[in-house]
Amino acid sequence: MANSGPPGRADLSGPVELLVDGRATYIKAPAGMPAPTPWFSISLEGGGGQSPLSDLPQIGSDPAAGLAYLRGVSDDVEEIGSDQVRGVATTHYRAVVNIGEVLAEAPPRDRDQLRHGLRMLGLEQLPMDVWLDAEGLLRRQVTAIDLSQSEFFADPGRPAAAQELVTTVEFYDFGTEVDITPPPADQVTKLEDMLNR
Amino acid sequence: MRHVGAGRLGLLLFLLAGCSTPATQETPATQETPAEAVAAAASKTAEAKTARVFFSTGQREAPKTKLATGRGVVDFSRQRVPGHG
Repeated sequence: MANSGPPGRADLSGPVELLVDGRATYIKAPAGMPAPTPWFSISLEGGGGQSPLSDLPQIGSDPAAGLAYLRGVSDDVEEIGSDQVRGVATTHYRAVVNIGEVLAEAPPRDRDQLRHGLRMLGLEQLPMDVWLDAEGLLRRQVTAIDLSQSEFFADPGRPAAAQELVTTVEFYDFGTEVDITPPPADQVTKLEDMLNR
Repeated sequence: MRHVGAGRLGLLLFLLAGCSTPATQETPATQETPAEAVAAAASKTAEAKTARVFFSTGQREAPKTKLATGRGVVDFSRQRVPGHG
């Protein structure tokens, strides 16, 4: 990746490679970033205040995490109609996710961290649109988070509509060959350690 | 040899017939509700094991800002997603 900025300054406008492996997120250091290793990591382990970074909501860093929301939909799911997603025939549904249900379905080890993140975002319910193909596979998922309800992220100076964060995730080429290998430990620096240097 | 009376034989045949009959013939096919379809998609999608993924996060209203966008692959327990934002 070419770095057009001044020497020693990270080019944060370019692509960033991200790898999520369970509770660890690895980020490849952008070009020009004065990092001691090619990768740095953020871990969810040690949450509950032991690490300031582990207290950050992890919503959005894991595109596959949205599958958990599907298990928390309320009973009044609306069928919007037929649609095409990347050339595949789908049915479009509109639902509201009950966050309490998502927490109840979450693995016990993830529950506290998830609850903390959702509380920071001020979420109790989450509007969600999903597109399912004929086999029932999730093809597209659109969620809208109203940050104006968050005591941490709300900006009183801006209208609520301008604080709505919309995330679209699309899955395709199911069954494709995947080769994901986390970087070796000697190629990784914990982000907390980098910030303390 | 033990004897089975006619009444009991009839009951036995009825039970055997019930057991050997596919449930789909006895029970009307049920249509999956939208809520059931959406809830079931979580496990159905995870069972596909791998997929390519595209994601985009941004503000809906002005100023429309795309905070992050990317694409990669996912095995639903770990994923590699090169993106930018």
